[in-house]
Amino acid sequence: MSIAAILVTFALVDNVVLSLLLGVNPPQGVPGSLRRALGLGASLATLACLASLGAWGADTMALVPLGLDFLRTPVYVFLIAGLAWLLRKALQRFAPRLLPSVSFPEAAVNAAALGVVLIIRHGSYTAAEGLVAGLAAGLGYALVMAVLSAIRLRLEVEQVPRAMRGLPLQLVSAGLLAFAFLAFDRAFLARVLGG
Amino acid sequence: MSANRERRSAILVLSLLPAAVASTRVIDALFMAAGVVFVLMAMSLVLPLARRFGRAASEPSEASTGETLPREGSHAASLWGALLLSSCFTAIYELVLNAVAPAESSRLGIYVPLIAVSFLTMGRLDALGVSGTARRVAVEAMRAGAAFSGLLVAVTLVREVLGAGSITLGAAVGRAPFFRDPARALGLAGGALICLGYAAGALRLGGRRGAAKRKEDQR
Amino acid sequence: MSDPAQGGQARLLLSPAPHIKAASSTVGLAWLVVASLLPALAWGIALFGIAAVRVCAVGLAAAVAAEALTTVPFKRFTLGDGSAVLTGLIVGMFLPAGVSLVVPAAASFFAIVVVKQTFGGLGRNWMNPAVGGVLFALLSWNASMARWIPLASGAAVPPLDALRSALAAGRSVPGGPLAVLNAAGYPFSGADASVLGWINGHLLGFLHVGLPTGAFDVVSGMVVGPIGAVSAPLLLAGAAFLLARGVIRWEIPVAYLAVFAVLAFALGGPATGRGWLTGEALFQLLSGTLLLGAFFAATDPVTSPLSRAGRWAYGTALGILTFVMRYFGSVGDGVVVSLALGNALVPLIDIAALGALAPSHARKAG
Repeated sequence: MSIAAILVTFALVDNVVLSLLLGVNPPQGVPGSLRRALGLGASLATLACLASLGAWGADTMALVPLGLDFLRTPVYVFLIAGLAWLLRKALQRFAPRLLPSVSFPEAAVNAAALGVVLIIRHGSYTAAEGLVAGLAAGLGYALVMAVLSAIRLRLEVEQVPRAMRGLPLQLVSAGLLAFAFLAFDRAFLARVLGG
Repeated sequence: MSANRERRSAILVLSLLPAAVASTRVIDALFMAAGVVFVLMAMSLVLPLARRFGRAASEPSEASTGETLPREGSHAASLWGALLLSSCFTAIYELVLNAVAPAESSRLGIYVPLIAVSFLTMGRLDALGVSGTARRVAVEAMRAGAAFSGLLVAVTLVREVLGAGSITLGAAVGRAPFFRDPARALGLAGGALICLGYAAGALRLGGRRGAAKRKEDQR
Repeated sequence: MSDPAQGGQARLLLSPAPHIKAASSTVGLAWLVVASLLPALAWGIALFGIAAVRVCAVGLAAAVAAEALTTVPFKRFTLGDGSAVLTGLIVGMFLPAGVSLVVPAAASFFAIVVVKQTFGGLGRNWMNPAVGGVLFALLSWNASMARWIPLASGAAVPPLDALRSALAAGRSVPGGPLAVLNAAGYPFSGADASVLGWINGHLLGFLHVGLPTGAFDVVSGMVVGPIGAVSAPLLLAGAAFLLARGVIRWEIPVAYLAVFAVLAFALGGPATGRGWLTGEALFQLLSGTLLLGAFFAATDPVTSPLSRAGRWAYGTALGILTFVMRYFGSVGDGVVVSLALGNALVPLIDIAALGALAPSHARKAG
């Protein structure tokens, strides 16, 4: 797949939040501020990029040659958890002011990274393509989270039914947005790139 | 509804998201639920044993539930340990599923490995890994597993009946087409999100009514 | 991990919106829009017959029923504000006349219950209910959404679809979309022949130019299409009425249509395998649900930006999205899906333009 195809696929067609349904944080659901939404996107992008590299390494150097495919899940999970931990250390050391916005570890972001990495490895991309895919996933995540954050902020000002306040309405909103995002499907991808 | 209950409901609903998008038919929901229940129960049986050999914080922490991964402090060991257990048990389930129902396994795709990092397995950590007797831990796991399965199957049932006009329980057991012209959008990711949004609202309504009733009983 | 940025962000300033018009009450507005849509609806019924009546009636009834079901048990009575009727009407007008009746019923129901009432009712939704309902229909009953009722002339598909298939089959003929359609044998009406014959003969003859066959049909709206979207003149008349009364603002439709037209003209050619600056802007503007969407759905005060600059941005975004979706997308004719995406962007636009989001009473007055 070309770079452009990868970007569009991972950011829009198979969007982390709206197609894979990953990356939504308990307990508050969607982030409450735009800065946080972008921060989460950056976290996912970094984590997914590094993790996809790591996964590629693990696959090519250990898992496949040694026939240890069944260990894939634990290996990936620990890879991501470890990377998240390292990234947090790095942030604490070098850029502590970023910490409130860009935080590791985040349960949802880790799950999202795992999902993205699994898809990448399923699709047998090269290492470089995997990097682009991870970046694209993070970008798509940031975009959708920003939109959903703004919607959340708007809903907070309204008098919505009490039972639906907060998470339930965020989910319904995300569902409506997911319907709209179905405009970005594989046919769309083919036509945009095919010219 | 108390904050704690809110949080647990939120965790339940959010952990259902990936499972719901994978389950467009009832049979898928059953397999996903089986996986989650298996991992939860296995963890609940092994963790208390492991705790004896590890260090664990003595205070039950109510405050952090969505948090999963290692921070400084005494939680660290039990969290990494739980991660190890959940991913290993998930791998076991993957193998079993692949052997028993390979078509289903490939249909569920990445969502089976994702059970390892499901909020349910992780979120139960504080109750599981930190405090309580082995029996309490097992009970919590069963409750969580039952809630998850029940809700997942219910939502999937609605989505399949209204969205595809059928109920699929297995390859051999019958597909019964009901509606001639079903609303296919419900079987899509957006449909899952919307249904789960309503489920979350229903849970909150139920919780509120239950709390009001309890208050009344106390008076 | 709790989010410290959440509490600290002063993103919410509940400032009274500076541009509330004290005059118009919400109650009258929706009914005015309903009235302005009736001519176009009548045209559609005249063209497509009893099927169109059924579809619209079901859509209306379902919307009203849904609103009643979600308000009366809670002792609220909102049917008087006309918004349910308006939603049901617009949903019906977006649909082809031959669609099975499940579709308008479900679409209206979804529009009222999920897209509007779940969020708290009028003014509190971020997606236009009709847009949400039609989108739901497009995704659920894709095949049914293309069940057109043919006309007496024998035309069975909308000109836009026929054009697309002709171009895809490689039959590109110089001279614009009508030339292509004529070459492909698309049947136009007898009225078209006679009117154009008269115009070309008597008015334009001395200029040695002639309007191509089909021009009258396309412009006047004697074509196959969604029930309420075919007649451009009547839609424009209704829109002019609303603009004159101040019910809708002109920035959004103007930006939307202008940007779309420019893009269609400049880039529509390459998108369909021809040269630059050869796109068929006018034809595209008159095709599909674009006019209906631009004047009656995009201008919904509840789901559009509060500031003037925001409205320009919104209109532009819609124009771009519709261009992309119409030429490259596969969900309907690109308008509904662009409206849905645009609605989602509105809160962001408001934050960018105003630094705040205002509650529903600021939006209803438009």
